[in-house]
Amino acid sequence: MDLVDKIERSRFLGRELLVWLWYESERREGVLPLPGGEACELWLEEQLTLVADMEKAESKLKAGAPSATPEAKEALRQGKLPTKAKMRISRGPQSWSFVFDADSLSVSGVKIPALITEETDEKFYERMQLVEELEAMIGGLYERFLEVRAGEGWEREAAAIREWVEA
Amino acid sequence: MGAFRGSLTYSKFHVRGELPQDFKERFVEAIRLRTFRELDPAEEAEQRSGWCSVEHPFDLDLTPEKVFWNGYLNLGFRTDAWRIPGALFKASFREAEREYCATNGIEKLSRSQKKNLEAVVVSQLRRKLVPAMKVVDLSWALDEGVVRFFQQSPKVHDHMIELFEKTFELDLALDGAFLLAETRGLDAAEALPELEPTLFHAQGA
Repeated sequence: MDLVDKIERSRFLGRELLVWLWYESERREGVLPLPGGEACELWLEEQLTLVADMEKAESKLKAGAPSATPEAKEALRQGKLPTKAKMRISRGPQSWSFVFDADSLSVSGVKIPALITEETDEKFYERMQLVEELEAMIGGLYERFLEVRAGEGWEREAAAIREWVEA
Repeated sequence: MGAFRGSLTYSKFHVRGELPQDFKERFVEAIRLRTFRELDPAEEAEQRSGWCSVEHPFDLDLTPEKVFWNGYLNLGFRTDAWRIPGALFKASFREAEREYCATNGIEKLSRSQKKNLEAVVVSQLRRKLVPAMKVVDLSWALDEGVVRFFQQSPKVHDHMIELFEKTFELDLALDGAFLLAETRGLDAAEALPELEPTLFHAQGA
């Protein structure tokens, strides 16, 4: 299998990651462990888009906490999966908000914690460092997801997620 | 929305391949060969892309100090394009057509005459206009092997990737579920393409 095939065949995992993050965030009241013993807080907020694979119809939810609305769970019950979600991740006093795209695992509209530096080049380094920290947290969460997803316990985890969806 | 100010929107690419040992000298030379060149109204080209300084799009003298920022290689990806407003073109063409017919004593242009006259009108209008300019920040974290490109349009990605690969002779791959696992060195990476999607609603149980 060449690289392009591997990329295409794995793309669906982004949507599953987003379902799992949503489930984990609710189950653990926002506090998600990261590899290496650290933890971060993660919340879905303001915007959530869900789509069904074979249909063009999408549910675009906008609310303070759209993932907590009955419409969000109903969309999951209809077989729709989240493709985009606005999220907030906090670690210690620092907080990042952004829109996460599940299909490309990309982020947009990232608001980083307040900068300390004023100079253009120093500002650039600080911005990049904060972006890299955000990516490291997303990467860490993805690593935790894959441990479960590619491990033997996935069927049990998937059953628990289905129960949460139906609740 | 770029690397230097405002909220950040970008796409992340993984650089496939190793940096050459003398990469600084090599890259500066290669960047200079593909530095942005202004569009000339006399040319046929409708648009052109090239590298510029990440801080000043008009600065095309790309010295190592402007390109290398400690562990980052920073560039502006500049694209200029001729954008002639449709109404302006139509009005100018009608005028040129009227003049041509009067001068040559004909009532109607042939297909080839029309095509030639269109080219003349486009060239004349380009001399009066300034090309539309777009600049996107690109930041390559050299140690990490990651390029952050502050634009998410697939069409712009294609143009940037083409220029990047020609310039640096290294391939770029857009981040995603497989590459993120692979570049983090996760054991699970190779198994991912074999996994089947999960159904999370009741009918899937």
